[in-house]
Parts: sequence; C-alpha cells; structure tokens
Amino acid sequence: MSFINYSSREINCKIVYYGPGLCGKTTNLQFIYRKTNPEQKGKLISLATETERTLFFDFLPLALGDIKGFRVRFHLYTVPGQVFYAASRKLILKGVDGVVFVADSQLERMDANLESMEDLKINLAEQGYELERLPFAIQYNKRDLPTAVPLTEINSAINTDSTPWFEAVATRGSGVFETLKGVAKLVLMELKKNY
Amino acid sequence: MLVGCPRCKVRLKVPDEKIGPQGTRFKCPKCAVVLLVKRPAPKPEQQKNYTLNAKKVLVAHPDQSIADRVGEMLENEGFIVLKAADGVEAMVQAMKELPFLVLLDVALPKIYGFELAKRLKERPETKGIKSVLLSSIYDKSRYRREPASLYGADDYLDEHQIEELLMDKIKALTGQGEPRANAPETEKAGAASSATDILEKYAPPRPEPPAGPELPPKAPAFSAPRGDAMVEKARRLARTIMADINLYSPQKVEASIRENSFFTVFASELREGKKLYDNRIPPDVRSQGDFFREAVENFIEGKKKTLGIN
Repeated sequence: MSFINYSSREINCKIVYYGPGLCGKTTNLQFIYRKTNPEQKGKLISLATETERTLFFDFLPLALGDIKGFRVRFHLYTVPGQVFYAASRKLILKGVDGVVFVADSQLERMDANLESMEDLKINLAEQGYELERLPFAIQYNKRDLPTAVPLTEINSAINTDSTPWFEAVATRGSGVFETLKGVAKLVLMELKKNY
Repeated sequence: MLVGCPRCKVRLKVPDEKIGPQGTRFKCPKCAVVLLVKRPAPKPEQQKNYTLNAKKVLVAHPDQSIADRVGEMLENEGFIVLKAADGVEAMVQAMKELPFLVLLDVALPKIYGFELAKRLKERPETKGIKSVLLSSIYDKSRYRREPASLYGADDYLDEHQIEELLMDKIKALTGQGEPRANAPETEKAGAASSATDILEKYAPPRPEPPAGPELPPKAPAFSAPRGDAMVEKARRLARTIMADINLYSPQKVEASIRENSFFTVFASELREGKKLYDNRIPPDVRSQGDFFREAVENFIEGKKKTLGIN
C-alpha cells in the first residue's frame, strides 16, 4: 500500500527482500546502499537481534521520473530469514508494494528456499495479499558457488508462476541492481494503474 | 505385551500366552472397565512379498520431450515404460505398478526426485525398486562434480549422458554388468540407537501403542497422494528448522554434539522450532508420524557421521 506525502510531493513504496536465512538479502541491500548517491538516500537502519538483522533504508531514484508530478521514493526492507522469526516477517510485510524473493542457489538450501516461499505466501495471505497480484521478482543468488543447482532446476522448483527472475552474485554486486530494477518497474506499473 | 486402558490410561502387562486367538477379556484393575485384548496384527511386510515387474520402468520427468526421448530408448530395448510428470504421480505409479526401475528428475514438481528416492526406499513394497536420479548441469566446465549423497537412490545420471550411459547403468543395477566404481555411498535408513537415546531426554513421552479393539486403529501406511505431498512439506519444514539451527551456530552445534549436550544447548531453538512446526503443520499430517523428531534424529546422526563420532 503506497503512501503519498503531499508536502514533499512523494509517493512512498515499500519493497521487501524475502528469503531463507543467509541467502544474501542483507548483502543485496548493503550493495544498493553503497552504490546510491548520498543525496538521494536516507539512513541505513539496522534492527538487530542476537542472530539476525533487519535492514531498512529509503532512497529516491531520480532516473525513474515522476508520476503526475509526484516523485517515487522506495523504502527497502529485509526480513530476518531464519525460520523461527515468522512473526517479525509478517510484521515487516505490512503495507508491502513489491517483493523480491532471494533464493539461495546451493543444493543444501533447496528445502529452505521452498519453505521460505511457502512462508511468504502464508504471511501475505494472512494480511489479505496474494503473491500472484503483487509486483514480485525472484533472484537466484550465489550463482558463483560450486554447489549451485542448475538454473533450469532451481527455477522449475521455485518459480511455479513464471515470475521474472534474475541471477546474482550479491557479494560482487552482480545482478543486484538488475533485480531491483525488475521489481521497481513492476511497482511503477502498478502505481500508474492506480493513480 | 503392554496394553493401555482407554479410560484411565493405566498400562497393564498381559502375558502373551493368556491371549486366545479371538482375543481375551480383561478387567482393568484400576477403573474396572472390561477390555478385549487381541494379539497385534503382523506387520504388513510380513504379510506380503512384493514382486517387482522386471520389464517395467517408470520415467518421472516434468519435461515431456525428455520423458519421451528416454521412453523411446527403453521401449526399443523391450521395456514397458510408464511416465509421470510430477512427484506425487510418480509415487502413486511406483506403488501401483511396482516397476523394477524408476528414473527420477531431481527437481520433480510437488515432491523432488531425491526426496522421492528416499521415500521409495522407506516403504516395504517399493524398497526393492532401483532408482536413478536424472540431473542437468548448469555449467559443464565449472560446476560439474560428483554428488556427495544420492538420498537413497542407487545411481545418478546427467541428462546429456542419458543416451550414452543409461543402458549400462541399468545392466549394472540389475547385476548384468559392472557396478560403478565411483558411485557415492547411499544414505543408510534409520537412525542409530544412540541418537534416539539422546532424543528421549528432550522429547515428551510417546503415546502408548494401540493394544485393544477399543483404541482407534492405526492410520494406513499410505493414505492419499495429497497426504503424501503434505507429509513431504512437514518433513521439509522440520529439516529446514534443523538446517537453520546449524547454519547460524555451526561451531556451537558441533561442540554440543561432541559433548552430547545438543538438547540442552539448543533447548530454546528446538522449542521454538517445534512450536512453529505445530502451528504450520495440520494435525492430520502430524498424526501420520513425528517428522520433527525424525528430522532431529537424522540431523544428529548426520552430524555424528561427519564428525566421526560413533
């Protein structure tokens, strides 16, 4: 649910990076933060528990132009990935405008990927959202690892609804902005439909 | 034989020789309810010998063109080919048709091929079926490596090698050729008693086995295909919980397994995990087996193996 700030003439959109524990959500966000112009971004806020962090920051990508005189500000969030933190994930999904699912390409994390995808659908459904109707992109991260599952296999297992997907090695930044642009495009299309 | 009174839950010891062929009536000494006690039915595997069809091969692959290509090859060699496009369909076909061999794509929809291979080995009627996992590879030069585990399957084959190697592998599996020298060791079914002993300390007491006719009958071993997919989901969640415990504190896990204190050290994680599992998995699926406990046992067993602890 995007929020409009009339005084600053901005539309605020929330994009949540979801995925299993240690799949690279934080690495994605940190890379985006590092590469974004200081004038365009807010503070990087980290809510840390003993083992997990939730990161948040907002930024205003100037290249995207405006919608009816309003600029679009993106608020990027990560969720704690560890399977136990279901309640925090549900909370962070409130008011979401777009989701990036970061999948860990390693064979030993296939269970965790599927479980996290299921968890995403359940948590969205509990708040009245349907994943199929949300701007949504999948990122297959850690493609450089020798244990990475072939793309055709991981995609057929996780991506059952032909969602746009991207390959990434987030530690090197490859595929990070491509994924963000992919989901941002879908969020903007949705905004243009509604405003 | 131990019998549980359905009313007062007291456990009674009944000598086997006192139970007649039609069962014998006993009065519970505590609550005076009359129980009809019968001998337990023999286990299904003792009742029936399952014969596999030496001509039938099941090809389970979501890609129709690959399934057809493999099917044609096998038919030319005189085999009867069955096909399935997802894991549930493959499971049903394997149980119904009892082929001697199944070729399973690793990423089958609904139930993964490697999960299915493990499931087939666990069932009495299908444990004799030979299974071969089919896998494609992402980058032939960079990512090719021998799998560390076949999840109970007998062999594996990369998709681009089917034409070249499939018939040799079938011969090897049926004892008509040389077995593969470099095939990785398959996982052994069942957990060691030591792991079970540790788990007993943490787990709540198990319910008493049904003994008399008054108690509800045991759920059938295989209820429905949909049920099977749900069981697979329950297993997957339980495995993920254990994998996450390990992922976030690998050194602590290792030390606690070496010191035999895993259940004390990770008591709160296990409690949280069980809570999540109970919330997420419907009671009818949980009643089919304690999959959480199974995942904990398998995890400890696997860790012990890796650490070289017996």
